[in-house]
Amino acid sequence: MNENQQRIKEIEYTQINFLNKLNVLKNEKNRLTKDINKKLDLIKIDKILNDINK
Amino acid sequence: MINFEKNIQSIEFKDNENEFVESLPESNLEDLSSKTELEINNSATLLINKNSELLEEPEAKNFLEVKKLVELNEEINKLQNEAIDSISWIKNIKRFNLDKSTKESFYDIEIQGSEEFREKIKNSLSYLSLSPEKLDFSKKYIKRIQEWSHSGMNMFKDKPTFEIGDIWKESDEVYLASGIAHDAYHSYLCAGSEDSNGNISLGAYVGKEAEKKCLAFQIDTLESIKKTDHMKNYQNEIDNDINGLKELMIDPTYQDIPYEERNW
Repeated sequence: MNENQQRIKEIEYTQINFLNKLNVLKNEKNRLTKDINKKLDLIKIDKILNDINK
Repeated sequence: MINFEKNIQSIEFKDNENEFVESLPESNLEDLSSKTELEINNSATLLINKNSELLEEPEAKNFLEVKKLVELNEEINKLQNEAIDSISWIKNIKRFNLDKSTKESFYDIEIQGSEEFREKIKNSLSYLSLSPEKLDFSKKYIKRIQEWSHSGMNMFKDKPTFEIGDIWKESDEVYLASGIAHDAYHSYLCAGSEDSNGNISLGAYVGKEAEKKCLAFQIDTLESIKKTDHMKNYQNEIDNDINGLKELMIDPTYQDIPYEERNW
């Protein structure tokens, strides 16, 4: 493997590493988003119930 | 906009490096690095902006999850910057001419470099084998020893690589053996620094405190080698090396010299 190929391989490897780590962060973001939306939905339902009970 | 999910699925890393290189698109280094930088920036920006409206939602402003979302965005940004820096470094740093080197395996460690380099490293590993425990440790944390422009442990290659600059030419083989153990310890610290997301904390394996630990391990390696019968005629030389390392250990500063300015 020559020097240029070595550099190309390292760039490819950096990209794979980055994408793998980004994928983990993406899953974490999806989980947090789901939790936030769930909480917001509950607040909405509470409001509706409160309005009905008034 | 590039879809990073699609890219994750399409990338298949092959351990056989020749297969890997052949599977690369025919682009030159400049094109490939620009394309990769663009893809990294786009993927990171896309993920940071995803669901950003939740950060503006008044009802959610006190949610713990929103705070975590802000921290997560900072983490994505940090990851993006590290990847871009890494590509710039890979592209620009002066390298040893790999076209002239050959590789072979010794004690399960790949050695790559000139014939003279490979012979010296093999002799050093033989000295290291006088302390089987230290050799096993080094084999576990160093998978390649490579003749290079500068010396140091490179954790960003396809396998943990101990790169050695011209200093190998003037180094004693026993001292070089202890140097291999020193850098194996850096690799060990790095391996232990990964968090649950697989992120490596640089501070855990480089810097003054890390150097002190690695120097201590190097001294211990020399002490182990010194105890063996094979080395009974070299006690003074090894003691000199140990004393030099102990002095260095008091306040190591060599690690602060910029990579390009190092003469080892």
